[in-house]
Amino acid sequence: MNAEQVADRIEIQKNVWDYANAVDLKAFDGLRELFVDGGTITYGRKARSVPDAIAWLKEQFAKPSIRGYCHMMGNMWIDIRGDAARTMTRCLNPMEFIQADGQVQLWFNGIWYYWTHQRTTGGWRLSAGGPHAENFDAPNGRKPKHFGWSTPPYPPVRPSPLTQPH
Amino acid sequence: MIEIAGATAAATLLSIFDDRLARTAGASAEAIVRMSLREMSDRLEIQQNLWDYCNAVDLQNWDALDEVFTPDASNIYGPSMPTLADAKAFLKASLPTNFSGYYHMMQNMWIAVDGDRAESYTRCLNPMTRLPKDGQVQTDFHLIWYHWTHVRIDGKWRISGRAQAQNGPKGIHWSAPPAPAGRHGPPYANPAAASTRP
Repeated sequence: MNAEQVADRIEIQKNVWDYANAVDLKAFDGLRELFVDGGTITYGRKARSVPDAIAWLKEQFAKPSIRGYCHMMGNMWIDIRGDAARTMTRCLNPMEFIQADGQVQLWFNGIWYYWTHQRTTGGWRLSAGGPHAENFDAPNGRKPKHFGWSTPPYPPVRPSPLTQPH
Repeated sequence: MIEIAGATAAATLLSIFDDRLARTAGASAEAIVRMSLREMSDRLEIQQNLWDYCNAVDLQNWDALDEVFTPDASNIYGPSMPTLADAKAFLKASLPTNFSGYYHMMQNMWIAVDGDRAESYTRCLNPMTRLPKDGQVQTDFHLIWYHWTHVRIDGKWRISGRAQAQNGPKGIHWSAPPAPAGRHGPPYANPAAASTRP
């Protein structure tokens, strides 16, 4: 790789991580600057404009039934074609739900994120994609499957942080 | 200037976007703004600083922590352990004797550099398996954030302390049900054997 290719790769990786951290740190408004004008995010089968997606995320993650969540992104496949790029990234996505009876359940979702990226005068930005983007051409043309496992319900008591060097 | 003390997670993160906006406004229509070599190398070195921390702890290579942290690093695990020596003593005393296995896997690094100072937020997947009790093992899964400050000393980035002792974003903590011990041999089942590892 030459220096420019290295820079492209690092910036595109940063796009993916910046998205995840903005969501996980609840800095939702920061998503606006990660996307090109007219960018979209697809959750489920619905493509939303970035402002709509921000409003939707704020609403979803304000629900008291969601206690914690994480989007840990690794194993990035990055395909750069000039000023456009696409990525496919493995995401470890645990979601911690509080049930109606007060018990907690943790869903371990192993999902894929697909993004398209565009180079702008301000650097690389996300343009479209999301966790369940339809019609994305995976490297081998196949639709990768998601993986999931959920814990049995458990009382809402956390392990003592005193056992933990945070 | 990076705002550290008392900043909320969101406000801290947003500074990077403000920076991005400023760069966009300053760029000419023709020019492509790429990360400079300096920005890339700072980023990769700080990323390595964080991974070196994980590997030193996970390989129980305590003295390697002297290279990871500044000598005067403070508040690494909270106010009860003000110095690096305190933090090392805590790790040495706790990890080999209280746990049969654990790891720290770090991804999603958000890094803001300001000259020879930097700040990072990093997601860490940290399962901890307690020593077997009554023939059963139990694993606690922690998905936590590390929020650290870094400084460059003699050309090398090091962790200088915890950026935010409280009001940080919450982690996820879950304890798996107890399971029969011995199905998968944990790497540090025998604390005496752990000392022979690298």
